[in-house]
Amino acid sequence: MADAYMGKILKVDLGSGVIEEESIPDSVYEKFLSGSGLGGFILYNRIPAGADPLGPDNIMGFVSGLLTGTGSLFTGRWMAMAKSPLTGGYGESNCGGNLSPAIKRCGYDGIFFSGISEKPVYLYISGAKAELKDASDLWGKDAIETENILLERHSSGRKPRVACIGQAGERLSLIAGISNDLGRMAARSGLGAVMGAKRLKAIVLGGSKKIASHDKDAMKALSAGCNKWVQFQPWFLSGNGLRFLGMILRYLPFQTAMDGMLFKIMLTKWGTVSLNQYSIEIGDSPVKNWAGSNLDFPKALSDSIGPDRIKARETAKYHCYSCPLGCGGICSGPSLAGETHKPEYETVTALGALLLNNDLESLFLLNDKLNRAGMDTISAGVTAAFAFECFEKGILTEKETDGLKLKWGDSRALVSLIDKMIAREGIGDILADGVKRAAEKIGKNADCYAMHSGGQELSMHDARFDPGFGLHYTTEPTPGRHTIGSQMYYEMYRLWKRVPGLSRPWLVYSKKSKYRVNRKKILWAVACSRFINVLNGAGGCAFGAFIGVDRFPVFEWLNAATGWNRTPLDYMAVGKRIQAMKQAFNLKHGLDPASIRPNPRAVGSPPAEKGANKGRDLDLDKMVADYWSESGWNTKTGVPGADTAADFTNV
Amino acid sequence: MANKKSHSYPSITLADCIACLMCVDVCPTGALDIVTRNGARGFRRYPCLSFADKCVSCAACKFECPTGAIFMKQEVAEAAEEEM
Ligand code: SF4
Ligand code: SF4
Ligand code: SF4
Repeated sequence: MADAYMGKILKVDLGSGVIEEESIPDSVYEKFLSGSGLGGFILYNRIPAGADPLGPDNIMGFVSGLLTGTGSLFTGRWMAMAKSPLTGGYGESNCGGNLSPAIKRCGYDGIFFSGISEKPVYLYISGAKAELKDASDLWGKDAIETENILLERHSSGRKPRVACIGQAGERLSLIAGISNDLGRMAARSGLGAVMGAKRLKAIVLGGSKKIASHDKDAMKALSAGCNKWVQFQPWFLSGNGLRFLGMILRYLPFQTAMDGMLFKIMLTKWGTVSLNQYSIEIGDSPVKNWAGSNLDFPKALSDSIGPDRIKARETAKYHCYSCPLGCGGICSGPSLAGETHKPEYETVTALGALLLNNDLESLFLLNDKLNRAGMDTISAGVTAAFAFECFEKGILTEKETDGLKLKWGDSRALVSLIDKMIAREGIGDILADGVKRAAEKIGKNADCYAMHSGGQELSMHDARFDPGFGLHYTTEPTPGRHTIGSQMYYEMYRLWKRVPGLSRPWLVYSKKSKYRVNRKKILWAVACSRFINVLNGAGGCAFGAFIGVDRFPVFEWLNAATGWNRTPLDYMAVGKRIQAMKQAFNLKHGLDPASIRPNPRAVGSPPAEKGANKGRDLDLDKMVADYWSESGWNTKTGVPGADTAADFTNV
Repeated sequence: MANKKSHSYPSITLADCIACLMCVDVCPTGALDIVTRNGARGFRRYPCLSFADKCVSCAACKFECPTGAIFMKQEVAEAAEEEM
C-alpha cells in the first residue's frame, strides 16, 4: 500500500445496524485517488439503478482527500456524496472545516451509509470502536446546537469533529446541506435530505491515527514554497476602490487574463465577500433573479453590503484545516445569538442582489438561520427570488403567501419567507424542495422564472459574463455549480505550466472574443473538469488552486505523499476517468444529459436589454456538443465512448 | 509517558504561525486547542497548549508544523511569550 491513504472504508448499514470495514485495493486509489473519485467509484458500483434517493438503497459517503493530513496545504476538504434527491443524478458536495483529517484519523478514507435507521442515530468513532448511538434527543435541534452538545458529550479525550444536519435535513428539504465546524456547509446536491431520510443526525469522529506521507521532507519543501506565495500580501485597494475597479473593467472593450494571485490578495483581505460589489459592477453577479443587471443594484444600494462593511463585523479570521490563507471569518452582530461564520459571497448575492436586498443585518441573520437549519443559502436565495418574481407576475398572490407581500428588496418579507421554508409552513413547504419542484407544483409557467440546471439552483456567477460558467452549469454530472470551471478559472489554474498540450490564454483579449466558440476554449473547459476531479480526489481547496498549479503544487504533492511517480498528464487522465464515471452514474440512473439545460435566461436567451451583459448570448448547443466530443463522449447523447467506459469499469 | 522532569512542551512562535491548525489536528491527546489571538497577521484562531496536563511530549505537533513555528521547551510557555 502506498502512503497517504488509509486503504480502508467503513460501511454502516443503518437498517440492520451492522458496521464493517472493507479494504480497498491499491488499484482503486491509483485509478480514482480518494475523495470524489473513491466516493464516485463506490456509488457508481453499489447504488442500484433507479434507487430512490431518499430510500434505503441510496448510499451516502463522507470521504477525505488523498492529500489530507500528509503535510500539504489547502488540502483539508471533505466530500459528501450520494444519489442526489435534487437532480436525480450523481450528488456531491465539498466542504472545508475540520472533518477531512478526522475521517482519516479514524483509520478510513471514507465512511459509507446505506439503509434507513428506525430511530434517529449518530455514528460515534473513538479509538478502535465505531458505534451507532441514539440521537432522539438531538432530533429537532439546529446544527450548531447539535454540534455543541456532541462536542460536550464526547469531550473526555481528543476533541472529536462533527458533521450534522439541522431541521431542514430532518424535514427532507431537498435543498438541505450538511454542517461541519459550527456552520461550514456541504450545501449543494440536497445531501442533507439524504441524511435526514436515513435518520442519521450526525457523525462524530474522535480517532487519532497517524496519516503517513511517503516523503515528509519533500512535502515540507513543497508546502514552504506554496506558503511563500500565500503570504505575499501587498497593500491593496479599499472595498470601494475594488468596486470602482469592477466598474472601470466593465467599460473597457478588452479584458486581461486573471492571475489568481490578485484574487488571493482579495481573499486574504476580505474573503469571498471581496466580490460583493466588484462582481455586480463587472457583470458577474446575477441581479433580480437574473432578469436585472448592475443598473438595478447600483453603488447607492450595494454600498451597505460592501466588503468593508462585512469585514468590520469580523472578530477573527477562520482557517479550514491545513489552510495558510484563512478566507473565512468569525463574526458577531446585534441580530445574532452568538458568533457565526462570515457570510460568503454566494450567500450575500443569493440573498442580496438576486432579491435587490441590501439590508446587511438581514444577510447576517439569514446566513445564521440557514446554517443552523442546514439549508443551502444559494438554493434558498434562488428559490426565494423565484417566489418574489412569481409574486410580481401575479402567479403567487397574498393568498398563497399567507399575506406576505413579496416585494423586491423587502428584507422583512424575505426573512419571513425563509422562516417558512425552514419550517415547511404554507408556501414554504412548496419552496423547501427547491425551485424546480416549486415551479412544477405552482404551474402557470412559473418554470420560466426557476433558475436551475437539471434541478440544481444556479450559483452566483453569470454565464453571460463568462460563458465557461454556462458550459459547466450544463455539462457537469453535477450541473448548476460554480466550483468547477470557467474561462477565468482556467486562467487562474495555470494548468499549461504543468500539463503538456494545454494552451496559455492571451494576456489581453477583446471581450467579444469570449463568446466565440472555438476548440481551444472547449479544451480549456474539458481540462477544468478533469483537473477539478483530481483536486477533489486530493481534497484540495479551489482557492488554493486559483493561485496556479505551479504555485500550489498539487501534482508534486500527490507524488511526494504517495511515492508514486506520475506525470501531471497521468493525473489528468485520472480526472477524465472520474468525470466519465460520474456521467455514467447519471446515465445508469436514467438521466438524459441532452435534456439538461440551465434556464434560458441565464445564457442570454433572450439577451439582456441593458446593463453589463447587454446583448450577450451563448451558443450553448454547440459548446455542449464540442465539450462532449473533446471528452470522447457521443456528441448527441453525452454517453461516454466504449474505451472511456472500459477505463473505469476494469479495476 | 515521560516523567515531569524530562517532560517538554510545545511553544508556538506566533510570528511564524500561519494558523493552519495542522498541529492541533495531529496532537493525539487533545493537549492543543484553538484560541483567538492577535498574532502577526491580526486576529485569527491560533493553536494553544490549553491542556498542558494532557501533553505527552511526543512532538508530533512540532514535526507537523509546516513553518517551523513550534519548539519543544522544558516549561509551559506563557501566552505572552508565545506572542513574542
Ligand atoms: S481558502 Fe478558505 S475555503 Fe479554502 S481552505 Fe482556506 S479557509 Fe477554507
Ligand atoms: S507534544 Fe504531542 S501531546 Fe504534546 S501538544 Fe504536541 S502533539 Fe500534543
Ligand atoms: S502547525 Fe505550525 S503554523 Fe500551523 S497552526 Fe500549528 S504552529 Fe501554526
